[in-house]
Amino acid sequence: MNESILHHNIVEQRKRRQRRIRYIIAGCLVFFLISSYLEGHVYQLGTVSFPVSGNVLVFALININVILLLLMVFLVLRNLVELVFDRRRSVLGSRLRTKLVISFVSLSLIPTTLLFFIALQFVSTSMDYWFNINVDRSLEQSLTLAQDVFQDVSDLVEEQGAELAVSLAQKDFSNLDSVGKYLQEQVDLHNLSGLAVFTSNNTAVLNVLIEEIAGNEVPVIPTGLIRRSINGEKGVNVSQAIVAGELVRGLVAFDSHYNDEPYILVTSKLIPRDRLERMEVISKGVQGYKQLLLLKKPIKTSLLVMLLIVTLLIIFSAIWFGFYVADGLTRPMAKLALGIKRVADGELDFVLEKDSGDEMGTLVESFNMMTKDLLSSKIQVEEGHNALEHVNEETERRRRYTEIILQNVTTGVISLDAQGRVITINKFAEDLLKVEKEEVVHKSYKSILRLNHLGILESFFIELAESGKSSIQRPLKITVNNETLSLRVNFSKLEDDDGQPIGIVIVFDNLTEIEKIQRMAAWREVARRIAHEVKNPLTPIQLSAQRLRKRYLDVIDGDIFDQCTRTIIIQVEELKRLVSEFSSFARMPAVRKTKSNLVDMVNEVFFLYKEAHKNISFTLKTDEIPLCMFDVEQLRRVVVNLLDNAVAACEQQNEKRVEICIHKNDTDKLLFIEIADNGPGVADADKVKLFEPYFSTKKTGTGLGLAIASTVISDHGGYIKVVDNQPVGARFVVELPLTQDV
Amino acid sequence: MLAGPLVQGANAQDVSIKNIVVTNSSTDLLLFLEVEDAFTKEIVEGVQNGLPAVFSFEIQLTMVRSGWPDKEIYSGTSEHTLVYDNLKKNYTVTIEERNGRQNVTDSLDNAMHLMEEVNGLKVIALDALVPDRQYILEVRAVLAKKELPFYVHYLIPFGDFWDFTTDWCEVRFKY
Repeated sequence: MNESILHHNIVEQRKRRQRRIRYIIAGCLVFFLISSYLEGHVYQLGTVSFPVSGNVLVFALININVILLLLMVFLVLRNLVELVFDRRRSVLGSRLRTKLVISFVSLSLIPTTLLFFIALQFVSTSMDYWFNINVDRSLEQSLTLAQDVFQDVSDLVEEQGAELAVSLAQKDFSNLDSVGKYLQEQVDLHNLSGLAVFTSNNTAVLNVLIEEIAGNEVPVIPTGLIRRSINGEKGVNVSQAIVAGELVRGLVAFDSHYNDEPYILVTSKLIPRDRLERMEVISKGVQGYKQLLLLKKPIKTSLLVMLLIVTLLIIFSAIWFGFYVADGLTRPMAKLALGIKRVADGELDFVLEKDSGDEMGTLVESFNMMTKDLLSSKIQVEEGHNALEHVNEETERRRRYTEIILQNVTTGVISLDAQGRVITINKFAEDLLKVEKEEVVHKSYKSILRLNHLGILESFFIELAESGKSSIQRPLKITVNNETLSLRVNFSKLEDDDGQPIGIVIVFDNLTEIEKIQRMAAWREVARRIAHEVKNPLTPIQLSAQRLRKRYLDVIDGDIFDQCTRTIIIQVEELKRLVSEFSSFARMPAVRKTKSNLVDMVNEVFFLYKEAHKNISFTLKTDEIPLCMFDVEQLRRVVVNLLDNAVAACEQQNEKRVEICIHKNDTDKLLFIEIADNGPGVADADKVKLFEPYFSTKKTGTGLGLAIASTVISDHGGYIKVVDNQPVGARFVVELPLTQDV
Repeated sequence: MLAGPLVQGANAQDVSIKNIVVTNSSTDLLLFLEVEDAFTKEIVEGVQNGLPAVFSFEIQLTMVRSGWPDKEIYSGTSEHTLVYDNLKKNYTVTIEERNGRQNVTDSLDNAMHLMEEVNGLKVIALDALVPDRQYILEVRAVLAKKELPFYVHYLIPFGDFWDFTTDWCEVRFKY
């Protein structure tokens, strides 16, 4: 979140800076144009007085222009550097911006540079052409021609003046009027514009002018010239501008008879205005040309500099414009891309700021609309998802509950799919059938079961199919890992809502213990009744037989009587012993547990048997067994019973071996007493009945030893079973809870 | 870069004022001086090609005051303009301080001499001066830049053609 705000702030700052730079550049351009205009304006002022020196102002303006240009160059370069760094950092949009800037620069640089060189060449060629040597010569000739006109007029007035001066000096005029008449004649005669006579103090005594200039104001002749003329200098002339044109005047001094001071004859010849103007045009043209020739190099340099400045201005403006356009395009795109990235990252509440009304603005608007829709859809989906999750959790909770129930029920449950693959198997079934869930799940029962078990199961399936019922229940006895189990099995067909078979569920209860207990209880009842019914008549029978024997043995001769009575007495005695055993079986005393040492107890019995049966190899293996709670006497009876059986079992063997092993399982808190022999072993069929009364494989056995042992172990909360010993013989395993608390 | 000509413009050539004399007539304070080496080859060439040369003499007269800033009592200029007429092959020198009198001469030397010489320029009426006070008269000559033909000055806005300004010359005197 913080990172997002930080990023936003950076973007905002950058935007502001860019905007500022743009304003500065625009301002520079405007100022550049204004100052350029002012420069021109200042020049146009020319000689008009200006509060500040025009020159200083112009230079200041030029320098401002240059500074502005440099500023623009700096900003453009800064933008370029920024672009380079953006590219290195792979900032979004920098590549497009580069392309656009390069395009703009190329578009402007190539024609501008081309134009620059063409203009340069053109200026250079044109200037050379303007200052062609032929033009120079023509102008020179024109000027000479114009100068000749002046010179001719000057020569004319000088010559005419000199001649007239001589004439005036020689002629004897009576008065000034007659001189005036003479001068008038001479003006007309020599086509002059005027003749005048001045005194030495520059006073006109006679002035004859033609009509054209009669009304014009004629300038005063400089006194210096009068003086020079009096001094006898030849060729003194002056050119004076009047309204009608240029009046060329030649001054010549002459002596007269009626004045002591010499007079000065001023001979004037007018160059008419129109002619003069044409000459002046030539003169100014030549002057202008010469001046330009003088300024040829500086003009060239100035033009080059100005062209260069304009070219640079265009180039930098183009670059800046390129940046501007590129920014205008890439910035919204970068914003949009950033927005898309943030939306892709899951920030669906992100809204892009719309800052233009063009297509990009529409795009931003559409983007915002899209994210809004996405957000609402996401919220809906999340709500749906939450609801679904809740349902799933509930379902899962129920499923788990059901599974826990299934796992903890003391009933085996196995489900098969329509193809006969095991789908589920609960803990009870695993333990009972001695299988691991991982070994059987998703496997067909055909591949798991042994052939005999497979036959049984398939017969049940056939029966279920033939019965037409949805379930059948059958008792079953099977041997699993040498243990015979009595089960009540229920087969139920599983069908879906459309009645299609989806598999079978097998539910089975272990009735082995119940049956055993029931049988035991029944046998105890039988034993009690037999003991009760049989015991009472036995004593009278025995006493009667003894009395008969005592009284009639001597009387009745013969072996028959003796044999018969003895047999009766022995058999009755045997019956008594039997009844006594029956009685003790029926009246099994209650277990009285004390904290005792099991190993010591077993050791005692083991020692006795070892001593009594030297021909048998006895082995005892014991773990560290702590003191635990058990009935010493009853458990001793069990051990004795089991050792009796073991000794009896291996009697026929050449090498007789009996092994006792006591060990414990700390995890399950169980204690095991195992007694194994290398006798013939127990047939599978006998294993179930072995612990039932009156089942004995021995000829002399009552069949109650193992029944009593089983009862004792049951009373201790334990379990006794017989398994095959490896390689031969039987192994009786007593499993007792390891209880240490009193 | 381009500010250079501004600096360079001053004293572009070694022109100086000499023979400066401040005196008075019965009514006015008069100034006499000569400018030395004002005409370079380029200026002469320019003049002969029709460019007018204008020498502007800038004059400042201040009264020295102790304990106070000096008081300027006169500030003014006087121009000498030289124009060559290639048609008549003569030089016209217009001298402002002589009421704009035009001196026409065929000789360049004469024209140059007229341009370089200030002869009896009336600075201020003596009535404006306070007796027994110390005065400083400062003068300098500036070759003023004039417009170039065909508006060339627009093309060479920072051109550095025959352009000079002498140092201020100072004369202290007591009236």
